[in-house]
Amino acid sequence: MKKRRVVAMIMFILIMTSVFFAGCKKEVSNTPEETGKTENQSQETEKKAEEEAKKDTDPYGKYDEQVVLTAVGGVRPPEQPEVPAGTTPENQSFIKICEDTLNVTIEYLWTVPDEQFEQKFKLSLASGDVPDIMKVSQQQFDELIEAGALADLTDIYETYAIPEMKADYEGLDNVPLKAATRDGKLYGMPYAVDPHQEIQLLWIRADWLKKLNLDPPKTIEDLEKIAEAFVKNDPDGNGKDDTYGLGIAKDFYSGIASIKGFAQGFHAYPAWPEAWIKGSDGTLVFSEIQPEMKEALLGLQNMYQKGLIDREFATKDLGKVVEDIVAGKIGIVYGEWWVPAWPLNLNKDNEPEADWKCYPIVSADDKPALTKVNRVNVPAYNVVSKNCKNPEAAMKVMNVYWDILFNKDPESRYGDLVKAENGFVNHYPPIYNYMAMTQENNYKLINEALKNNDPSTLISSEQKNIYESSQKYLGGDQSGSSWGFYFSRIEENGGWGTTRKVRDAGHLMYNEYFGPATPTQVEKGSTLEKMKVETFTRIIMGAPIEEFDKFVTDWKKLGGDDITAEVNEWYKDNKMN
Amino acid sequence: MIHKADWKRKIFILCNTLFLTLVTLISIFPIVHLLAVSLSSNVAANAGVVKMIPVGFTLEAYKFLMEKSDFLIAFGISLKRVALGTTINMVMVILTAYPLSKEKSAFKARTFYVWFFAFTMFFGGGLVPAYIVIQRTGLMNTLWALVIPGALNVWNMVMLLNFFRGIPKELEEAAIVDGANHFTILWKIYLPVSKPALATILLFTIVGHWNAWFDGMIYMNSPASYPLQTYLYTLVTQNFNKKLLTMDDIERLKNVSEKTLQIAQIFLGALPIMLVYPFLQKYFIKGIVVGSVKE
Repeated sequence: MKKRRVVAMIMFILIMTSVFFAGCKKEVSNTPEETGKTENQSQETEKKAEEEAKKDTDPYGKYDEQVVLTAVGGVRPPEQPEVPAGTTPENQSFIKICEDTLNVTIEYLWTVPDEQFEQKFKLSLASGDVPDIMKVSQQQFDELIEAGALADLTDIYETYAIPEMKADYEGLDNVPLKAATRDGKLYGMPYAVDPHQEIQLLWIRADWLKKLNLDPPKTIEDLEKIAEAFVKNDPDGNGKDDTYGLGIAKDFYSGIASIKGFAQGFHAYPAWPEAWIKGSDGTLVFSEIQPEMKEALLGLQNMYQKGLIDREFATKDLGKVVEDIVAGKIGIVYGEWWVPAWPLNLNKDNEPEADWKCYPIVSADDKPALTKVNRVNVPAYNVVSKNCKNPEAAMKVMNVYWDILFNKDPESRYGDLVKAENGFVNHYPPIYNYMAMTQENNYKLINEALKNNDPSTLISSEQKNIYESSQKYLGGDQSGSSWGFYFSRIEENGGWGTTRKVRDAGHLMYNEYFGPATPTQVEKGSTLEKMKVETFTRIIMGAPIEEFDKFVTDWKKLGGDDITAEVNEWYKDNKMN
Repeated sequence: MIHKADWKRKIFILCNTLFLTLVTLISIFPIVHLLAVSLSSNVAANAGVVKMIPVGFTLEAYKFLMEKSDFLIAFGISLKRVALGTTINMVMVILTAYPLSKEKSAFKARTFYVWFFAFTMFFGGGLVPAYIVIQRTGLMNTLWALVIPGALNVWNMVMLLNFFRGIPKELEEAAIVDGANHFTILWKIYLPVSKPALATILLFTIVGHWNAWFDGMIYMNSPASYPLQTYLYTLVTQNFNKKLLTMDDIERLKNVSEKTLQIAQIFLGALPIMLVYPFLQKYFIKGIVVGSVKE
């Protein structure tokens, strides 16, 4: 009996180990072959690319033989209501356009809803399915470069990128390109966003101010008074004590209802990703362990104790805070330029008398409050696989997209396929760049056109659309959406208008770090962030402020000091000024 | 046995009733709330003012859903998955549990197999190897990818195995004397007396298949072939804490405001499973072995 059991156990172990080793062996024997193949392939690709570059450097040049680019897609429903139902990335009209004009077709390996893209993409990469073209996050970008999976686009960018795209990067001093470059090689086309978009503004319900005979705030002290009046003096006049002063979500770093704007009034710069500001000795320091942060947290604690912040804010995510805003329970909120377009417009729909106004952030002392901006803001990179036979085709695809969206009269070149009702969805193409300076350009051109009542100077179809809806609003349409559109983008004292003023006044504090995540950040970053958010939440809710000092010590000990050293190592070679 | 209704007993009954009523209400409130929100106007839903009674009653969300093909297609895929997956699971669990419930003298390699299956309960290859297996075996993007990897649920199998072991041996011996083979014993004796266990496992399996969303997300190549829960998951996990917003994201946030629609879909998604419980409940009460054998 016993013997048999032992035999069975041994058999079992043998089977398991043999299965295990079978797996390993296969991998080992495959790897050199495969790498050899890829190297040959890429050498071939390079040769081929060189030959073709000689005979054809036209950014919109058409291939004689059809080129197939494989892709993967994160899908979100189309925003334009005109898009026919059933339009998917696979059958979008952009693919047809590329086939017609470039003789390039795009084949999807898979598509997945946008929120799940990251996970599916990781699995797909791990199983060896690397598409030819893809749009990836900063982290994936770093990993793919590390794995040597990306094509070098340096020459392709020089030769094939259209001048309009280059000019857009130049408008940002080419910093985005710098962020996509490793060892002198350009590995991706950064999808760049104007960093000034994250300038924090103060949004206040002016109808409540008026009702309670208050002036807009000039200092944090004023702000606290206003918040107190909003809480205690029943600004909505319903006789119930159901309003909060300042809207804060438990997620501290989102574009609206964060602690960022308030903390900036104390010259502290909480941020995600982490902000590294220049310290007094010229090296970079982590913004959230500075003494100013302690003051900012004390300020928030004070607000919380007086009941000016929702007592349950620690359980409220952005969605819940937005509900309160829409329901008319919140009168003050910090946010970026776009918040009138969402969610303030919903509040206006719900309460037509709501009159949100926008102010620069206020300071706790006599020094002006600065807002933190990144040197560069690149949410994604368009990259090409090393195994792609025609990497320049990817560049051409991006050129065509840009041409359709930001150049004049795309219909004359591409016909009706560029219209939403024929299946053109702005965010469906697998790789694309958006004009980073869109807001600024739109603001200038459309205000000019509205002043002269002459839309002929407008270039893109987007601008024409905004022009039309602005005219609708100015003509008396009071719906939340047309107000939101106009007040965020066009109005001089609105979202972008105020953002520009802050930018031009130079009330900015730069995050000097725009390198890849450092090794220690990758390893310990999430633990440190969790500790940070928990400590801050506790302090705001009344924990003794000494916890902040303990947090600083812990942060340094648990990897922060290493990160600081790594960041400064990078900074030595990448100083902006 | 009937208790004399003294005051202690009365207090117990009172407390018990109160407690159970409370538990019931706590369970029912979320569902009623969902129903109320789904029947309210969008503005009220977004403002979060709907509690238990619809504000601004409208059937708009349900009307829209009945015309929306995505939802119905996903619903159909889920039904297919439950039918196919539950059948496979039940067959596998029964066919595995029966031999393993025998004594070692009757089934010599029993220990080995028990270990073999138990091993999988504690160790797994992880996500990436599982994905590669599905991909290389060609199951990717088919309904089979959702039912085959979990074809044998070891936990359920162990439960049934233990139940089988509790069945008096005399039943089996009597059947053997009458000339029954193993299949007859399983089919005619074990299964009929195991209805409570089978009903429990059936319920677990159906709920498990109905609620599974993760595999659908990673093994399907396009949202058009998602089962219902995966589809619902993608609806409700709109990324709210986007920290770096781009132009696209702002445009998208506008879509999030279709709250009543989301809630209506969640409600409809939960409905079938709520309907299954009452039908299986009677098996939990009857079908106990007591009385089959006189000792």
